[in-house]
Amino acid sequence: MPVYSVSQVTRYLKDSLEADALLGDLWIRGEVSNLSHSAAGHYYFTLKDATNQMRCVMFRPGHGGDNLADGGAVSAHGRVSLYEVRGELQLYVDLVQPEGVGERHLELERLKVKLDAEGLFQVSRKRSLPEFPKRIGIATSPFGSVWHDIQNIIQRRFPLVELALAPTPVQGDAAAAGIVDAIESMNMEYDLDVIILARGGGSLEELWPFNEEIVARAIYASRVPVVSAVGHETDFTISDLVADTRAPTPSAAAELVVPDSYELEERITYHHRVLFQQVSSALSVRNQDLDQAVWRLQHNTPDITSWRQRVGDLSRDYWRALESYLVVRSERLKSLESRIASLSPDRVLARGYAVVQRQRDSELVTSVSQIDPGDDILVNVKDGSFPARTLSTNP
Amino acid sequence: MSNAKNSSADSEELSFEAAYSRLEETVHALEEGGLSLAEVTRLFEEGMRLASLCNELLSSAELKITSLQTAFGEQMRLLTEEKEETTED
Repeated sequence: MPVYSVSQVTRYLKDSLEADALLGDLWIRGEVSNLSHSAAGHYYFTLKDATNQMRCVMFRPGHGGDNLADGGAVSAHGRVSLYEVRGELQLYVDLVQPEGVGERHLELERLKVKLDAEGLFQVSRKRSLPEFPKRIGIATSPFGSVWHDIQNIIQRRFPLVELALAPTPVQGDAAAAGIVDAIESMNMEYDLDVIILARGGGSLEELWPFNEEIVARAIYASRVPVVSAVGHETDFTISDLVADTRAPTPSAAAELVVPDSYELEERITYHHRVLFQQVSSALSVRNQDLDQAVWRLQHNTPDITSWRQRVGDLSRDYWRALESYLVVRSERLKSLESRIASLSPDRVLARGYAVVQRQRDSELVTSVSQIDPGDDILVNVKDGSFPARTLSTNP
Repeated sequence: MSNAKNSSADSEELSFEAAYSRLEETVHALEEGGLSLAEVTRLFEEGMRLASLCNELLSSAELKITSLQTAFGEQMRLLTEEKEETTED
């Protein structure tokens, strides 16, 4: 018989415990005692009933730690394993719920924690829905009012689409597998733009298929964006959490996936009006530009008419001035002529005066000083002249 | 001639989505401005054509409904066939 080391045995125990399907995933109900909360965020406590107890640890980030209090009754979910260092059996808790919560709720909370940890609810991977879908897949029961409501709403809002129904039961044992099948068959279609997963209101049990893990995983795996519309506004299912969009009701989902054609018509009318405004403003701007250009052209070219007028005026003035100048001049000429005529020596001679010239140099004699007695002179009268000799001079 | 036929067929086969987004682009381009008068006129004409196409598509549309094959759908079909057969007997 071999002898084992302690470590060998604790390792063997740990492996055996962890290979057990029940111990790997179970809920334990009990009263909390010896609770301590470490600075790192881990909880250490004991769960006990009337006679027995078990060590528990919940490492960060466990869920529901708020429900822990000494003396409080809780249900704890986790796995049983061995803490080898101390050789102690422990429950490794990942979720704590207050005692009294129904089995279904406990299961729901556990699945939420699990799927959340796997990243199925991550907001960052949620896809936006297409603005104008062409083909919409509907996974629902072909018999319920939900399918009719969806048809009516989409017919009224945006009938430009095709609805592809993937029939599935939406309650009962076959529902979860049916929903998975419907989602998968819709993903085989190459041109679906969005999927609505819909069911009318019901009890938690009736809505249960939408909390099943296989449904959550099928939604998560869907290539086509999924809108989850299960029950009434107050019902939240795991499908809602995994889907790309949650609609409060199936009718709301129908309104969500298609635009409203009345609103679209209004938008088209608006665009129509903008088109008119734009083209008329473009035309009026160009009209103004043109008017301005014409105005500038007119104001920057010489005004030939007025220049012609001015030239006409000037030449008329010129002629008038010239004329009056000539008149004045000829008048003056006439008066000069008559003055000159009156100064003519002939006229003086005619009146009986004589003009005397010195004989030797023909100089006019106008003074006694020019003459000496005995000088020869020439005396000019009206009708001729005659020589004479000076007898004497009298000063 | 065949070309002209094709281009008119193309514009008629334009989907609502394509026509609507083209309409938005057209209006946007006009609002941006800086276009020649010839371009403004061309965009205006195109926009008016698209707007009436969009309205026409909206008002003339009929919702299409098809059914995809699922295991459940198949069971329902078989059940109704059986029922019909039994009522015939």
